[in-house]
Parts: sequence; C-alpha cells; structure tokens
Amino acid sequence: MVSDQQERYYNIFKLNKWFAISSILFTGFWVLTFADDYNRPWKKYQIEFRKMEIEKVRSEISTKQEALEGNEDYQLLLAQLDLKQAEFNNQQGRINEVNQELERIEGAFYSSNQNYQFSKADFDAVKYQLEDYKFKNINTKALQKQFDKLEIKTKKAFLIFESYQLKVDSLEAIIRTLNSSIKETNDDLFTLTKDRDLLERQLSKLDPEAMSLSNKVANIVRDLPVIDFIDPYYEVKQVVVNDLKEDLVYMGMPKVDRCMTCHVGINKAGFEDAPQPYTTHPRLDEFAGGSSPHPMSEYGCTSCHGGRGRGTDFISSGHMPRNEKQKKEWKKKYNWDYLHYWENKMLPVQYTEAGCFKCHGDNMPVKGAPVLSLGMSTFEKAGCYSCHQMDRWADAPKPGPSLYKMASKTDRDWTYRWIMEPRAFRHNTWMPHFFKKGNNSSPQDILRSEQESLAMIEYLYEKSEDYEQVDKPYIGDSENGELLVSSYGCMGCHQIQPEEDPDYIPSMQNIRLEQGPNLIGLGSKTNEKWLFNWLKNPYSYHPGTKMPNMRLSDEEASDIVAYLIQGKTTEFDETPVPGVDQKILNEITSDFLSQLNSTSQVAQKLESMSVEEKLSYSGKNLIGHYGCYSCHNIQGFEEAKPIGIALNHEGSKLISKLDFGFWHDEIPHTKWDWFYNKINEPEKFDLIPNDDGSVSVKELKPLEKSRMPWYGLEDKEITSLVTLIMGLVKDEIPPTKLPEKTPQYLAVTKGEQFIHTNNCLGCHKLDDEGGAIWPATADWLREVADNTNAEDMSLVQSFSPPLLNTQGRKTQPQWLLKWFKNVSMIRPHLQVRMPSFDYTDEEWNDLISYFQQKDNLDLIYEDPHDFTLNSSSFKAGERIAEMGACINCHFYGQEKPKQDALTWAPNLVLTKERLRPEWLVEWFINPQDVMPGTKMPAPYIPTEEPQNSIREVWGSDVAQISRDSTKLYKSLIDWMWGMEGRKDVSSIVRRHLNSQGYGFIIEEEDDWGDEW
Amino acid sequence: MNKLLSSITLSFIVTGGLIAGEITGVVKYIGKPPKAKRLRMDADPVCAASHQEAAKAETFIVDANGNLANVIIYLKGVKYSGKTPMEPVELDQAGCVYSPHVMGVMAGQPVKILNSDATMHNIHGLPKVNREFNFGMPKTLKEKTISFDKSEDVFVVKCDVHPWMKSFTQVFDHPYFAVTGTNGKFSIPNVPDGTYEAIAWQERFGSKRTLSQQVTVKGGSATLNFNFERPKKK
Repeated sequence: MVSDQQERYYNIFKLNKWFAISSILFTGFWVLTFADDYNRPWKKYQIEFRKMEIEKVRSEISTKQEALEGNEDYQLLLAQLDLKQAEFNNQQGRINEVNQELERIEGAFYSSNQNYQFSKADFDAVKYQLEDYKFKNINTKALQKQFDKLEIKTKKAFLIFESYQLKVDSLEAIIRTLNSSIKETNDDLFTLTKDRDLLERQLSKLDPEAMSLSNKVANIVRDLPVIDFIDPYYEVKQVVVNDLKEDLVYMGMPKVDRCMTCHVGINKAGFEDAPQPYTTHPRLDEFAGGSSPHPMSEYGCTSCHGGRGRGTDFISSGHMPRNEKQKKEWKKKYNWDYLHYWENKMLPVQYTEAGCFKCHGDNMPVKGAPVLSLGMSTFEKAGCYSCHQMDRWADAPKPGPSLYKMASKTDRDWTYRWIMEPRAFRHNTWMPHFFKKGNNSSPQDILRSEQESLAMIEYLYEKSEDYEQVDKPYIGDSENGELLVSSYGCMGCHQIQPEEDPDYIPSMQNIRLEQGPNLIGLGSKTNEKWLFNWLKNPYSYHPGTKMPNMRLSDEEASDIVAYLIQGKTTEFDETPVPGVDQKILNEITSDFLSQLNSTSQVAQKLESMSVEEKLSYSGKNLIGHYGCYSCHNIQGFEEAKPIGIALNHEGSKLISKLDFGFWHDEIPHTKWDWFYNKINEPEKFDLIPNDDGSVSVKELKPLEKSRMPWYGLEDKEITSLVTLIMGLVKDEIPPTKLPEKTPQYLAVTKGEQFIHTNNCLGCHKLDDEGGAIWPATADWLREVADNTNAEDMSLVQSFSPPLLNTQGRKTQPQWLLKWFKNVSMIRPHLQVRMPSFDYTDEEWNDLISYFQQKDNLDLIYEDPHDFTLNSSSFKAGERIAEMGACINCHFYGQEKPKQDALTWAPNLVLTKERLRPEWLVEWFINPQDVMPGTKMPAPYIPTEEPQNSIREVWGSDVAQISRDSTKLYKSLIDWMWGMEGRKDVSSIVRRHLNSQGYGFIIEEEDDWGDEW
Repeated sequence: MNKLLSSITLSFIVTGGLIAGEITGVVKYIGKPPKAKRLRMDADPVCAASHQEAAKAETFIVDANGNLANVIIYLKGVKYSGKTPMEPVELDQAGCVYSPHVMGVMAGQPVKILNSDATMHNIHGLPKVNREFNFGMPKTLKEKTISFDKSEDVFVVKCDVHPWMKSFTQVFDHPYFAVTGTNGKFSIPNVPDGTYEAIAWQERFGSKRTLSQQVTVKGGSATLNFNFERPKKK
C-alpha cells in the first residue's frame, strides 16, 4: 500500500481517531459539567422552600378570603357593585353612542390640533424674525403683513381646535360619570381586599398554577440547563457589604454572604417553625429583617456568625457542630468535615453571641445577649483581666481584697490553709486554686507547694502595715446581729451559705449576690476587733474597697460582729501547718537566684542567707511568679506588669498558635474547644493522656509549669467565658456599623459599667433587672412576720430597696448629689439602708448623668417650680390631698402617718427639694407605669363629675380647675412646695418602731402545722 | 339569610338551655377548722366604727356542717364563643372589708368597684397577665368601673391603706364558674352537654392544693361535690 503520508510526520487517520475520541470525551465532560452545575445542592432547598412559600401564601389568601366573606361591608359592597354594573350595562347603548361619536370626531380633532400647532409654529418664527428686524432697524413692512396674516390664521385654527376639544371633553365626561360610580365602589372594595390582592400578586409570581400561560412557559424555560444563566428563578443569592472587609491574605475584600441561598426564609416572617435551613431568624426584630437594626443587606450574616460567606453548600460555608452528638449527625447527613483552611469558622450555636461583642462590648450588660453578658460578668468577677491585660477593662479595680494590712485581719495559719486550698474554707469562693492541680499534685509537688505557701506568707506578713483600730466596745447581741444582717442590706452583696447549693445556676443575678464573700467561717478567718473596725468604716482598712460604709452605730456593729464571728470552719482549722523544710526552701530559693546569678554565686548567696531571708526572698519571687499582686494590693508590686498574655484579640488568634500539646486526638481542633479546656482545667496542656484514660505530667521544672489557677467554674460559666473570648476579635469595623458615640451613648455605657462594678442592682431593681436582695427581704419578713407576709410579693417589694426606674427624670440632680454624699432617711418604713459610698465627685456626676441621659434628659439646670402660697391652686391641692388621704401613709413633717408603719411612705416635706415637678405629674397619672408594684395609688382627681357636685364636695378651688387634670396635679405639687416642717423624722420612726412595731397582719397560729 | 336565621336559632337553643345543663353541688371541708383571726382595724377609726362586733378574717369560712364558702369552682379549658355578659360584677369596699371576698369575672365584663365607706381606699390589683392597677378612691368617689382583657388565674386585689383588706379575683374566658356561698353551695348554669374537668380553689389551700374532678353534663343537669380535707402533717 502506498503511503498517504504526504511528507507529514504524523498519521492523519490516527489523528482523526483521537480527535473523535477527545471530542466525544469533551462533549461528555461538557454535559457532565453542566449537569453538575445544574444540580447544585442549594437548588433543592430553594425548590422546597418555594413549595412552602406557595402553601403559606395560599393559606394566607384563604384566611383573608374567609375574613372577607364574613365581613358585612365587603358583602354589601359586592352587592352594590353588582347593582352598579347592571346599571352600567343598561346604559351600554348610550355609552356605545358616545364612543362612536368620539371615534367619529377623533380624526377631525387630531387634524385641527395639528393645524393649530403648525400655524402657531409658523407664527412664532415670524414673530421672532420681526423682533430681530426691529432690533437691527431693518424695514419690517412686508414681514409685518405676513405676521398679521399668520396671527389671524393661528387664532382661527385655535378656535376650531378648541371647539373639538370641548366636544371630546364633554363626551369623555359622559363616560366618566357613567363609570365613576363603579370606580368608587371598586376603590372602596380595594381598601378591603388590598391585603388579599397583594398576596394574590405575590402568588402569581410564585405559583405556576396561578400564572398566565406565557408566564407558566417562561417559568419553566428560565430554569432550563445552559440558559439558566440569564434570569433563573433558582439562583445563588448573595449580599455584598462593601464597607465590611474580609481579610483574605493581606487583601481587604468586601464581605460577600451567600447564606440565604439555602437559608431562604431567614428574613421572612412566618417560617419560625419550619425546619432548617428554611427557618426564619429567631430574632427577626433585631437581626436580618429589613426594618431591624441589623438588616441582612447591611450587616450580612458572617459578620456575626463567622463562617465562609461565599460558601454555597453545607461544608464550604464552614458550619461547625455544637457538640460531638451533632458532629456525628452531620457526618451522617452531610458527610460533614472541618473546613480546614478557613480560619474564621462559623461559631457553634452556643457561642453565637460572641459576634455581639465586637460592636457592643462597651455595654454592660449587652442587652439581648445573656450568654455574652454572663461571660463578661464572670470575666470581671473572676478577675481574668488582672493577669490578662485587656483594654476593655484597663480601669477596672483589683478584684481581690487588699493585703496591705492583712496581719490585722487574719493569721499565718489561716492564710496558709487558705492559699493551699481556698475552696476547703469557702465552697464558692472566687479565689482560685494554684496548688493541688493536675500538674502539681505529686507528693514532691505538694511538699514544694507547702514551702512555697510558707514563703509567700513570710513575705506578706513581713510587709503588712499597721492598722489603727479601736476596741470593740460591746459584747454584742448575736441574735439582733442576725436580724440586722438580714435587714440592713448586707444580703444584696453577700450570702451566708455554709453548704454548697446543689441547685445553683450561674447567672448575673447570682453574681450580684457574690459581690462580697459568702460570710461563713469568719470566726476562723478573722477576729472581733478587726471585724468591728471593718464594719464601722471599711475605707479605713482599704480606701479602694467596694464594701461601703453602712453607718452602723457601735451597738449595731458589735451585734453584727457577735453574729458573724460565730461562723467556724472546724475541719479546715484542723489542717496541719508544716514547718520550714530547709532543703526544699533552698531549692526554691536557688531556682530564683539562678535566674540572675551563676551557679557559684547562687551557692554563695544561699550560704549567706538566713531562713527568714530565704523565705522572704522566695516569697516575693513566688508572688511575682504566680501573679498574686494582679488581684491583690501587695507591698512592692505597685508597678508590676500583669503576668498573663493580653487577650485583646484572642478570638482572632490563629489556631496554629494554640498548643494542643498531647491532646490532638482528644480535643476537637477548634479555638473554642481549646479555650474551654484551658479554662476548665488550666493545666491540661501540661498533661499527657494515657491509653487507659489516666494522665501523666510532662517533664517540667516547677517554674515551667502552667500557673493559670483553677476556678472550679460550671459549664454554663465556661461557655459564657468562651463566648466572650471568641468575641475578642481584631475585625476592622467602620464607624457606620458601630453604635453612634453620642454624648448620651457615652454617658449611658459609662453608667452601666459603674452600676455593674458597684453592684447597684444587688439591691435596686432597674427596668426589671436586679433586685437580687428580694429573696433575703422575704426571709426577713418570714422572721419578723410570717410566711404569708413573706410570700406577698408586693410586701417584699415595699420592704426592698426602691426601684430606680425613671431615676433621672425623678430627682433633682443637685439634691441627688447632696444625698449621695450625706445619706438620710427617705422611706421611713425601710430597714434596708442606702450605704455611704466614698465615690469622687466625678464618679457621682457620671452616675447622675447616666440616670439623666438614660431618661433622655440633658438639662441640668431647670427653673424652680413656680407657685404661690395659699393661692387658689395651692388650696385646691390641699383639698385633693385631704380627700386622697395622703397623710394616711405619708409623713407630713413631724406628723406621723395615720396608718401603721407597715404602709408608711416618704416625708412629704422632702418633696420640694427632692423631686422634679414634671416627674410628679407622670407619677400621679399612674404610679404603676413608673414603678410597677408600688403601693402608691393614683391620686383621685375629680375631672368627670358634674361641676356643681364638685363644688359641693371638693370646694370652689378644685371646681375652678376641675376640667384640667394637669392643673389639678399642679395644685397638688403647689401644696407640697408650700410645705414647711421637720425633714429628719428618723428619731420619730425609731421610737415608733421600738414601741409599736410594723403592725404586720399575722394569721393566728393554728394546729395545721408549718406546711401551709 | 336562611343560614343566618338558622344559626341564630341554634345559638338560642344552646344558650337557652334546651340542650345545656346546670352543674350544682356543695363544697365541704372535712376536719377541724382553723380559728378565724380578728381583724385589728384601729388604724382607721372609720373602719373600726363600722363594725359593732369585731370583724374576722375571711380566709376560711366554714359552717358547723362543714360547708365551705368562697371556693371558686370552674371548668377548665372550655371553648366558649358566646357573648360576654355586660352586666357588671360588683366589688364593694364596705366596713373596710371586700365584698365579695372571692369573685370570678369574664374577660371584658365590667367590674364595678364600690366604696361604701366614708374613708379613702386604694384598690390595688396584682394580676400577672392583665395590667396591674392601683388607684385611690376617696370617700366621695362611690364607684368606678374597670375590666380585665385576658383570662388569668386567681390573683390578689388589696388595699395598701388598710393592709388587712385582701380579696381574690379570677378572670375567665368562659362563663362556666361559680363561687360557693356560706352554705357551701354553688351552681353553674347553661353548661353544654359534655365531659369536663372541674377545678375547686380555696385561698387557704392555695394553688398547690386545688381539687379537680371530671364532671359529665347530660340532659339538663349534673351534680358535682368537692371535699377539701385538712392536710396531714408531714
């Protein structure tokens, strides 16, 4: 066979064959590519959701339709419409005539209009030319003629046009009148059917069955393969948020979120109970919804939730399971796996509130984010910020007590036992455990820990300053002490809880009750003298303490000391305290000496130091090593820097920077799991898991071991702390996305933090938060009255510290400042007392400004209330007060209220310097709106009674203004502003209570037993 | 039109009692009753003067035969679409005591609060579901009408000026309730045929010790008796 190669070096036949094969393959792949693209997983969600939406709209339409059927107006209108339609039909002949006439003259009308327009155009041209000639002084004679002619022509043309116009108008008017009555009815109908019609329009876009034929076809065609790129119904949906940047390897790219491609119902109300991924956002009023403060279009989804917004399937979007169980479910259902190379994974649902912190971290609490708020609160309570520097808490006070004068308060043995195991003394203390942890519990470790404690104690006691104390003047009555502790307000910040509460649930409210320590075992911890001096004036012991001055008399303080000092922790007190072990002490000392000295120098120095010197030297170094000074004031550590790593951006830390040690297989490889384990068991990463479930400790020298102490936190607390840490991110947030830093915002956030730090809500309730002391008030009522009284919540409220609602609007700021600085009696029936705090003027001003700004009140100076003594208005007020029996409950100067002390209320003489008239009006209108649960009734004012009867019963002064409730309330205020009299009634109150008591209504004891 | 007529006839039949019945019965207390406490009204002379004999607390009123007064009896979870009566329920403050001491009212039904005393009362209702209210009624204000929007379990209505004054109100979304009189008897009329859960509440026994039993109304009447027993000591 002759070769057909024609000087080619390749075989054409072979080439064709391969070309054919590759073409087929290519076509195959092409088809496969399109098929794959066409079958994206999100599509089935959208198809399913469309069905759900159709069903929902249909059912809404039928509900609306049913409502319409039942609506008499609707039926009436329908009938009317029928009537009018019939009438209209009867007129059809006339209408046809008119329409024919219209058609007939239509041509003539248009041509007349055209004639007129053309003629006018010609005329205008000539007019301009004429003016131009005149300007240029050219002869205008010929032109003038033409102008005149055209003017006449145009006028004629206009008349013809006008006559046609009138004809058309009148014909159209006839039709309009015929139509108008129908249109009116139709309009009326539309106002009733609007909702339904809108839904129907919505349905016609959704539901193929409700579509016109052409739309039906288009509906199918738009989603056909290959051409579905043009305008498909089922598509990848996304929001692009230009001012939120995503950090993609040194490039800030606008945030693109496609989550709603599958979460189709996320911003649509009505799918709250639909399964995932169709569910409506659970807080549509706050998030995602178009009218919410965080609409999806402006904030996206991943800015709060984390995850990979560009992902359009379950795995590529970075979903993360909440626990092992969910992980298993997801593996089964979605073949789920970590999105390994995406750092910012989606927050598991229990940590979602972390996303709130980056914008709202200034607030305290962050409203609507209870987990995050608990985390922030726990963070503060545990004093995490003392070791781990944090800008947010840069100005926060040291969380532990000052140790400057500790030798006066307690002794070395107690301190030793305490440091070794704080929880053995107080089961719920916030002092963490440094010793007897997983990484320092071997017998040798414990021996060393004991010597370390002794060394630290040596240093602390050696440096302890003198505390000038007076002797306790009375033995004290412990029973009365108990009553005072339960009623004076101690229980707003302290508990007395000897045993652990098995039902304890961590909450903001419970943290309020732990503002101060659980007051158990004080007899073991301290002495009567110190306690007496402390109670009398805490600031003399530690100027920075949060414990306020309760203004206790010597007797009262002695009684309380007598009661509290009874608490003993016998078992704890018997823990042996070892002596100094020279060998171990030398090891400790040389560990520190060798940090700065050569081996020979260390030996030399050891030789020259006494045991006390070694103890003190090691003690100081150990205090520095463990960071005790971070939480406590300790001599010599005033300038020391915190020992922990800064946490400002801990949530943005790369996971590769977190050392999972030997726990790679045991702990899920996520940041939150690392944080959780670190907090739960701080020494975790010093340990090595063994196959049998036990652990061994890494080979570490004592000073190399993890120092982070153990707090014994509950799961809820750890979860909340991890939520906070995950929120500590370094995202750059544009100011437009942040709350606006108005003076009001700044004052309110500052005040919130002050109120939180100083635990105002331990006693007070404010906008339904706080009032942690209420259960203690109930206990006190049980003690002094009975169970029935203790269960009466309105009584409990009336004997608890007042609500702070509307505080800014309520009191005069100058009075409030004076009162804060010199507290005096306001509510005569209260046992609980506002303590004296020694805040600076600046702090008081911040607090007052907070109350005012919170109430939208930014005026500090106001005109005083204007009134005339004994004027008609004043007298009217006097009469209203008399009829309202104000002085049944209120003191009027030294005049005691008529009722028992149980119902007593503030001295009215104080009102004019204390309260704002504007607020009083608000208060009188409905006290319940201002202070829910208050005993104060709305004073009755006669506005609706006949004039003559008012004159007769209420007198002419009231009658004169009886039509104007504002004037009536003003008259009451006039009356109070005119009052003179004794302001301080405390001695009268004391005498009365001592002799007559409160007058509680107590059921007589029956033989039914206590279980009632 | 026919449909309308027939539905009117039907509702007439239902409410007219042709196929509806009356539940009647007695509530008794078994055991030794607790002593009634005397109310100390010295704080307000007007109150004290209005009683010739010292007034006693009404927490537990039982007669010699064990008939227990002031017990609310009601049917639980009944659907009712009929009308709400517009004749007001009265709550009088007379002699500084509430009368009645315990009452039931339908949501939306007017409650006329009377002040028969020549003194100032404040009337302080402590509902949880409905809006809390507290207003003063000086001696000249003889009546004021209020109403409750929603049904709600029993709550306290009291006077803060006279701390011993306390009464109980329960708001229903149906008319099938009654309060026992001093003879312990009660009657709930116009109950459609059917089987219901009936509840009996007395203040001293509280919400933890309400009694409950089934009652079947068939062909005109049904009898329902409750016995409260003295609780055993633990």
